Amino acid sequence: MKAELIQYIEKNSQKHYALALSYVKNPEDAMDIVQDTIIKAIEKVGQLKNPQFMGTWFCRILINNAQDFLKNSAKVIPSDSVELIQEQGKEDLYRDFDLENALNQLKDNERQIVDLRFYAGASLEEIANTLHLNENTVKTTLYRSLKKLRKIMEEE
Amino acid sequence: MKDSKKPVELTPKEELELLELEKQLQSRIEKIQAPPNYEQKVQEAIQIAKKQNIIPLHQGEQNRRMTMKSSTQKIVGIAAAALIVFTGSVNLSQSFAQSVSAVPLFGSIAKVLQIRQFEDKKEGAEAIIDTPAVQGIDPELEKSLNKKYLEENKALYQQFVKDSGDFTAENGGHLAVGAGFTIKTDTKDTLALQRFVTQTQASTDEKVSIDNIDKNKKIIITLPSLFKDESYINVITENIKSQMKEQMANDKEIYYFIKGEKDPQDPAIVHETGLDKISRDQQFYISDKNQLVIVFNKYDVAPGAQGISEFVIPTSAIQNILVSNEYIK
Repeated sequence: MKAELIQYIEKNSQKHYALALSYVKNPEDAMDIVQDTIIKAIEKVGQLKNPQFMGTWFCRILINNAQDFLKNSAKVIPSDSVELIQEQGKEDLYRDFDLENALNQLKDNERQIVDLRFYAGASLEEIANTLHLNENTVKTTLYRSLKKLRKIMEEE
Repeated sequence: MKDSKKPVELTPKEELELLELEKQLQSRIEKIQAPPNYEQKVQEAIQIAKKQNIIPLHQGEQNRRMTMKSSTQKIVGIAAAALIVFTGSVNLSQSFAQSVSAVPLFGSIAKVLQIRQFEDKKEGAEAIIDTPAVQGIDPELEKSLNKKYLEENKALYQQFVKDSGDFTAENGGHLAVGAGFTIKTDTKDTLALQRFVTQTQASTDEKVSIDNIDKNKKIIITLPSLFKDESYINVITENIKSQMKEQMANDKEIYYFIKGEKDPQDPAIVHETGLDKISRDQQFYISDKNQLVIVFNKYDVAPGAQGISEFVIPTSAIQNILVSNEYIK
């Protein structure tokens, strides 16, 4: 399973970066989060019983890490240094600020489904199993969330 | 979210719309690109994680913590770096000495610490210089190695301070100096630690230097010490030249310079620089497959775009001039 996990990590690294970046906003931090997630995931690979759910499993660890990071950093960043950090992040990388912003306006349950669907590449059935929801609920929520995202992005 | 809260079925039209919306978001996400050093970081993390599994769990946990910068530390670093930018100060006395990571080595308690010694950022010039520090092999050996590493990087930093005065936002120049290291080989017997220095002005220059350490005998392995006599210089040179020719014949995109030989793609040109003979102390390492690998710096034997060149020397080609098969098999 470990070899499969490493293969999965290597193949999906760009998506993991995009997912981390959508939470933490700073390329350096996003890379740190991915690194930390990789180490945790490989350490805990014994917990993963079904390789089919690897993407969901990995991305949930990543999201938890990102949320922990945000919680911790919220305590130590004085408000005026936020600008400095954004300044740091302003490298000539392709970023999608509109998308990042729109994702952050989703409700928690909507965001979870969108993350699992697009960054973890999970099927609707898998999302339903993971979040203990009815598959149709997942589908309608996804539909609603995507319309909402598009609307927010069009407004900008 | 209760199942009963929303109507459960999408209409066929909405189903189609959902597909379209999914496609749009998918392609937006695929366009997001990570910084160029990201893939390397992914590999680093994989390597660290792989090594964690062979050391006791509690120790692994500790090392992991040390490896990843804590968010607080990180933010202090950013704020300080940003401060230099914002005040426009050219005072380059700013230096940090903080241990940012520890790479545990195979077996035992040996590890390589990565120390961020110097970090500077101002308009037009930046330097990030990481120095390795070997630990847990042998106090005497470590002392001399670590001293060398530190002194060389100190000199590099002083040179940067001197040079960086010429680069300002006004004249549009840019200078970037980076130093760090990678572990090329780590087995129970040997450790090959490769340090690199990159200097970017208009183009990037990259130089490496490698130390091969015998963990058991606690000595540095030198290239001449592997062979019975000096004949290795010619034997290895000829082997590399034939590898170069073979690679060039098989792939038009690969290019090497061999001194005194005609350019394979333009026979009118005879190269005046490039590989003549390897030096007595050519950079090398012993791979984890116990093979000799010869390393050339950027530009030495190939166009800059090819970067550092490495050649694995088949053991059969040097078998009869090796002192023994202790390291190379």
